[in-house]
Amino acid sequence: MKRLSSNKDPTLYDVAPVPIILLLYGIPLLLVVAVVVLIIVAVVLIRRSRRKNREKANPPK
Amino acid sequence: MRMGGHSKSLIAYTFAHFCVDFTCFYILFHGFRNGRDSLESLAIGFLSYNAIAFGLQPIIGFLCDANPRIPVGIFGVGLVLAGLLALSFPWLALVLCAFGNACFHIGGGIDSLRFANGNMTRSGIFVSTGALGVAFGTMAGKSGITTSWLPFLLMTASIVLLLLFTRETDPVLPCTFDTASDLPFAFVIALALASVVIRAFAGGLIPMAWRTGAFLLLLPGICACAGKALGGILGDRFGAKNVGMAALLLSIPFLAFGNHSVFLSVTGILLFNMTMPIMLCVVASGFPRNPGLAFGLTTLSLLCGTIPAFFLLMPRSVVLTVLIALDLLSAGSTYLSTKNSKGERSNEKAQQQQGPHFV
Repeated sequence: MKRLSSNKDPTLYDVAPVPIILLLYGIPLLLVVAVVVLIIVAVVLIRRSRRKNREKANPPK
Repeated sequence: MRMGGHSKSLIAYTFAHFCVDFTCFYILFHGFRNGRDSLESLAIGFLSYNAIAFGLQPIIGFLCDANPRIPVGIFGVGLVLAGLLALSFPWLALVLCAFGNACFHIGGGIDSLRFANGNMTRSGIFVSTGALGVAFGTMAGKSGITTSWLPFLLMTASIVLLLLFTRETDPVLPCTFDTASDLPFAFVIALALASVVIRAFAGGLIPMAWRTGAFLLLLPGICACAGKALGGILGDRFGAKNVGMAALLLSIPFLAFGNHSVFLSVTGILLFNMTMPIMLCVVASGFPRNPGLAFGLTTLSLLCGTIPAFFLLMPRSVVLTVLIALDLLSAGSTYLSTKNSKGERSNEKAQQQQGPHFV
């Protein structure tokens, strides 16, 4: 990527690997970020369900 | 065996579990087999499939807990069937079958936990056939001989069975598992899920140089299936903590030194998989009214444990040490997060205390 960005007169040969690089590194990294987001969502859901369980177990008098 | 009633729905979901996982892995391997850069595409395809199928389950589970009448299991099978029909478009088929797989697992997971009456056997039986479906589906997809009529037939049979034997109109009872230790809730859940993460990662490290022929390729799946079912049955008989700890500790020598011995290795795999239903029920103990969320959290943990395998290449020299260390760590987490439940009597007592929760 560094080699590509420093090249001021890129040919098709230079540019051609870019989609492959994006595919090979971009998608897996995107998926890892998505999993991190899913973990955060799961923590929120755990807290919410725990609160609801507690409310049902000890209803307000 | 303590399956907790509703045995027809358990049989339907267990059979459908095999069929769904068979079809998903058939689609994955068949769809990406002939692609350009097939190895890279297959790896990214797998990662995407895992992220969708395992990662979305906590959210789908939470939504289904709030709306228990959603026929999410049948909907999931329908989506996998749609994926099968879209086999000519591998990425579309992958997304459809991954999302369908997530929905189906939540449907089956809720059924296996809700009607278990506090016993682990039911969830052990339900989760067991997935490993078998993965093994056979991988082989069918790789072989290129099997045409899609077999998965199509299996999917159709699953839909018919689920339509006949599952009812979302049944009263919604809270789960009554009593296998979580007396530590604070957050610790128990964190330790139980950590145990699943560690086990998922360690599972990918197990050396199996003996996997050469067709039957030997299927053997780990068959043993994983037997281990999961046995884990639930023995957990109910001898206590979750006893069985979970014994299985993980006993598996260490078999896994570590079974690289060239089929018998040692498959015994290790069988023992290693026995904790799966136990940890599922420990997590479900913390969420009596959210079995869908509990099931989804364990699959999200499985995903977290498998992701590093896509990015890290462990040197052969340290695999054995890491495997033993992780197995011990998982055993430690199991020790701290589980307890030996007192069997059905305590569950009945718990049910009486909580009272039926009809929706």
